[in-house]
Amino acid sequence: MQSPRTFASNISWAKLRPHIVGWAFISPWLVSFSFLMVYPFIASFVLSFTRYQLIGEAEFIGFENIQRMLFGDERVADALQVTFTYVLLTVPAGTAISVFVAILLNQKVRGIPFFRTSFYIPSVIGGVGLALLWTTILSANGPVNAALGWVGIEGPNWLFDTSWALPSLALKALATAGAAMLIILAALQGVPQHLYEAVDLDGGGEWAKFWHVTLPQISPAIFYNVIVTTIGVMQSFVEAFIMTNGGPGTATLFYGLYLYRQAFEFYRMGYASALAWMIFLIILALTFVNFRIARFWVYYEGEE
Amino acid sequence: MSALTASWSKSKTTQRRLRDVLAYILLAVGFVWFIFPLFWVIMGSLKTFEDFNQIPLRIFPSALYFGNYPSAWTSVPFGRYFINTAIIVSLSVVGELVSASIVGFGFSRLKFWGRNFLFMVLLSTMMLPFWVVIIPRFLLYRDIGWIGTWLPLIVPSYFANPVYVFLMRQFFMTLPAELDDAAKIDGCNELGIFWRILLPLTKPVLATIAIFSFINVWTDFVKQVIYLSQDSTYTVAIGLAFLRWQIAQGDPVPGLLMAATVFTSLPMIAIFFIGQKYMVRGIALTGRTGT
Repeated sequence: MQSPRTFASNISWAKLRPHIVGWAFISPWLVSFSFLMVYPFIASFVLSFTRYQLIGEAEFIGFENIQRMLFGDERVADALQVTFTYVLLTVPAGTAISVFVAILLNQKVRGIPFFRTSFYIPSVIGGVGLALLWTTILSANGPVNAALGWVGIEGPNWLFDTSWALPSLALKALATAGAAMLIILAALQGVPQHLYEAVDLDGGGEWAKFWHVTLPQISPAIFYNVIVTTIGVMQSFVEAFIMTNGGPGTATLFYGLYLYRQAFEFYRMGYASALAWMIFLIILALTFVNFRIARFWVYYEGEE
Repeated sequence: MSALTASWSKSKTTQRRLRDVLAYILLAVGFVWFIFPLFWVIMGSLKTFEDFNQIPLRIFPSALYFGNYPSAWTSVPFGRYFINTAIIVSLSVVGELVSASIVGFGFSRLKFWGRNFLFMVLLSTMMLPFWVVIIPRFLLYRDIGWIGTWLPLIVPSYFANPVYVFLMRQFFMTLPAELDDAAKIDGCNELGIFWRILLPLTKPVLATIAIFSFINVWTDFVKQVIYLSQDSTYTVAIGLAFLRWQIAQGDPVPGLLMAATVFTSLPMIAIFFIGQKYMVRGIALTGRTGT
């Protein structure tokens, strides 16, 4: 006969087992979550209040970094301005292009798979390769200026011109609609057909279908893209690093590039951490604002 | 009456045809917009130096000149960089597949304390900016002696990228719960259900993850440039950046740069054509490409 004690522990083992097994299965993520997310997140906050140049101990300096970042370092304001301008140049136009192109790819004509593939290819190349590709496109005697020459316009030296360098990078971003386009396309294909039939019955035309059915139905996907691309664009780095090196002057000094230089060229780990936390808070605030604005234009099924 | 219907349906077909023509015109514009840069670089890679300086600018090379390719290949040790990148990428892809499928299984097929909360946490970490975690990660890797090695690029792949976990979970959720129940009756434990019953069914989504992580690791320049420090460990993306700076410092051979851009992009384009179907489905399922 079993003693009551083992009996009780048997029961609790049987009860505990699924939880232990469950946690065991997700343990790889728990490890990376703890060591590569939570720890760095807190550590960079703490580092923000220190001076640390990779050698010796980090020295606590209170709010010195934050003071310098907000009031003493003009470059920070430059970098923020460049980054916000870049967001404004790429996110609204990029969203519009992705919707337009997705609608185009949703037409029932022949050869759509071919077009879908070719539209997506620039996004596959990505990274340094795509940046180099655009460096050659935008060079002073490149094809863009040749095309402008045909219509009698003398094009600038795009990447080396203070006022054109940032729009040039934006142009490159807009020619890479990629994932956003495919997300909208998937949303378009999920719009229930009977909603269009209802518009037909009411005698509405193409525009009515677009404004009253398509746009509301795909608005959650558009919203998602706006959120994700805003967060991504705020962190841009490679374009400026490869194509312009932040120049000319500070014309394309992305916040990410400035932070990278502070951290990995000047090894100012404390100051760079303060910069990192500021961009984190800005991105958080932007995302929050985006969610608030979403109430006015994003349509969710089952909502009045 | 019938004449009226006939003319009505005729105008309807004309309207349709007009619409199709318009669609094709716009598709052609889009094609030029997205593909021209690539086309230009391929053409440029086949031009001689003289071709670039001709006025008016020529689109096609005067003759097919392949000399840029070997010069670009040897101007930076691309052979070694390709091997390095291939090693990093393949080890990372294996890690992403193994860890995402295990964790994704846990989050979708098992019930345990804190599951839903932890999953919400996992989703929210996808929004965390890269820059806010990179400095302490760098210091952590330095303290354990990993800077200058491939380990910071490879090892984290074995600890479950949230995007791929999400993708796996979404897919596991579509499989019927009866599969697990039947396996349990047959005496399978959780590991058996995962390994023998469910994993064989997830091949399409594993393909999606493999393609995403291949492309993402191959092009992940920022991490490579931060973590690597010796020539013998460098990657293709770093090699391309070197070439760019050599040319920026006055080595005036645009064809060289274009040739390098072409051959370093080939692996990605090849992967894309092989696995396009899986990629499109993956993006539709998660709304991401996994960065």
